[in-house]
Amino acid sequence: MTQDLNEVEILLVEDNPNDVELTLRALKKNNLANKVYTVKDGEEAINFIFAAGQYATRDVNFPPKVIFLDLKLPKVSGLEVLKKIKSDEKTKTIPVVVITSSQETQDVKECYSLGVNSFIQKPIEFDNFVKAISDVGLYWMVINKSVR
Amino acid sequence: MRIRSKIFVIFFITSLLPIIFLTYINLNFSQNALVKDTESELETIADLQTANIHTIINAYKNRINFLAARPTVLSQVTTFNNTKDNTQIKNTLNSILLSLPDVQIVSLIDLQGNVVVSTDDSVIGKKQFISQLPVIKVTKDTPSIDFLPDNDGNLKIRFRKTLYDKTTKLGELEFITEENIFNKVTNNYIGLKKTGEVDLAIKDNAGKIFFITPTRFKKTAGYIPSTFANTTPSAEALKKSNTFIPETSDYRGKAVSAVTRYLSDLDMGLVVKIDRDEAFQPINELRDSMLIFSFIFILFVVMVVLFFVHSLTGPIINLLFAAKGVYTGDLSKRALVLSKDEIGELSASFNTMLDALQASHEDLEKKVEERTKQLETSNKDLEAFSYSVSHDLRAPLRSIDGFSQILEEDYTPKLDDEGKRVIATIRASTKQMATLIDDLLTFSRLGRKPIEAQDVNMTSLAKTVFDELKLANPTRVIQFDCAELPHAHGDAALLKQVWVNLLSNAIKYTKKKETAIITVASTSDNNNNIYCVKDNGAGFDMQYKDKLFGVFQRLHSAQEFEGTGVGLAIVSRIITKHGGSVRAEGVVDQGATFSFSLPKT
Repeated sequence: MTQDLNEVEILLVEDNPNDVELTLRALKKNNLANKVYTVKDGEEAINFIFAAGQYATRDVNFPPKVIFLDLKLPKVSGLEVLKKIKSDEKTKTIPVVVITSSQETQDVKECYSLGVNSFIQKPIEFDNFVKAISDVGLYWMVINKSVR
Repeated sequence: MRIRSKIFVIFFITSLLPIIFLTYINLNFSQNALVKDTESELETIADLQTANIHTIINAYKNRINFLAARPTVLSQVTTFNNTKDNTQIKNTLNSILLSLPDVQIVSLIDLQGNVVVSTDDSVIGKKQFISQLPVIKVTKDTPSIDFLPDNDGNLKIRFRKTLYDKTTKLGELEFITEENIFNKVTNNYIGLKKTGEVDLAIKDNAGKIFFITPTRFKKTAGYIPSTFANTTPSAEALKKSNTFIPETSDYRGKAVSAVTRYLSDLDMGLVVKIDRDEAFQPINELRDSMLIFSFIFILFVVMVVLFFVHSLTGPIINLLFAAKGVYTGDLSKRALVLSKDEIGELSASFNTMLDALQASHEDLEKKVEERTKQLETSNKDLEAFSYSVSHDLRAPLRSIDGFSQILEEDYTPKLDDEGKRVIATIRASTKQMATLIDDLLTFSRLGRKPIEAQDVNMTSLAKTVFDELKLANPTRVIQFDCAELPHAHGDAALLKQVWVNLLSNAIKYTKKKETAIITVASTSDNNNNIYCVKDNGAGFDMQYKDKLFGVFQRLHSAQEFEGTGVGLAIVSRIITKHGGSVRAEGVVDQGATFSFSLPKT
């Protein structure tokens, strides 16, 4: 995506390209797709948010409006990313929505104790998936008021 | 009673009783023998002394009889009576005196009873001394005999014989003996040891009994009127009986054995007696030594028994001690093998058994440990598996469903009916697989999750679940009736799952009926509360009722009634975990009743 990296509204952290495609399609339904930037692992996510590594050119003072975070990521796991975001003064106010296949209560507990703003389970059926994603997107982008 | 006591008592009795018995018999026998001995000894002496007395008396009797019949004497007495010249008669009397030992005075008595001639001139002219003591009666042929006590208690014996000239009385001839001629009889203690004696006793006119010779222990002079002669042996003797009295008391009050004799010609009693202490001294010595021996023997028996009992029961108690160790959980104790007898063998066998037990116990513990480790590993693998399933199986499914939808949405114009049908089939299968995965995960999670027990209000829980389900099925017409249910004690979340599964089944299988009638009620027995969900739906054939609660078992096709066949298996698992059981009854096309029991709170 060629867009201004400082004008990203939704940061999508997802390693599965199919899920990325389905998610974007869902967000398209509410015209939210063009504000999405995707990173495919935990390391990239952190670099993006903290303006490091390949994203050193970014301005850290222009974070995304919301981060959609998958838990199962290569390199750095979703939980670690969450931890990092929520423990840094500069970034902890960014809303993080964990969107994952996991139903494990352990995961839910841990995420909330780390300060996640919302926890969504990815439905298998596409209709439900689309509804969930578009509802979530709509909520965080339109209805919810965030810092930025 | 303890074995030790038993053995002790047995030994004691079997060793003691014979001893006591034998001792008793022995003493008894000896006693009887001794009594007989004493009797015969005393009798011998009594006979001997009786004979002696008779000898003494008869000597005088014969002499006086003889002299009283001598013509010389008679003519001299006649001469004196006529002439009063006592010269001849006096000489005769003196020579008689000389011829008689132990005679003190020989006298002639006249018909008036006066002493007219005597060897002792001092008694001439005096009246005859009348004794208080009875006179031994005479016949014409026998002299009279009586006893003359003086003031000092010395006794003389007087013999008198009437002198006859044919039938004319001339007077009386009189002998008076010296004092205490019987003393030599009674002072002879030969054969009478230290306490034996011969007593001679007579009765006076008043009936009082007197000893006429000194007694061995109260050496007063012969005749003294005293009461101490009134004792049984003497009295018995004067009752004219000749007997052996084994036990009586004498004038001292001491226990004696006595033989009595009645001398009829003297009206006198003779008693030969001896102290029982002395007579039975041998047997007393025997008894004492037997007692000492018995005592020593008893002590010996006691010690032997104690030792024996100890050596016998010691190993038993030791064995008992080791056995107690086992049931308190200590398998390391062993019994001491102290002897080569049966108990020793038992102890050894017991020890071997304990060794085996201990080894097998340790072996088992090891096995359990291994098994536990295996199980823990297994569990961990399962957890990892579940987690993996949660994540990794879902994602591809999502892709399948999503992209088939995209295919359908974006390429509908290019698809014919067959194409659309194929896509629809793909999507339906995906949906089914998704449900299956969810059910499987729930089922597996149930096995691992521990129950968090609390008090659960079953009525409100059932009603809440139904309301939620009704909300998800708004178009259905359902007549729902829930009675007041007893509270249960269990995991609220799991019990909710039970209601969800049962009530959703009821709703599902009544979908072909116009009005579904679902009733929830409860009963109870002694230990459990039983909850039932009844519906008027499709029911089932009772011959398949065992299959109902199996995993993935269904009695209908997925087209007829959707579902994977895990719902009831989940219910069964949850209820079993709570200590209850499940049941089902049904009639095809009429309805079914599913019930589960839970232990009473």
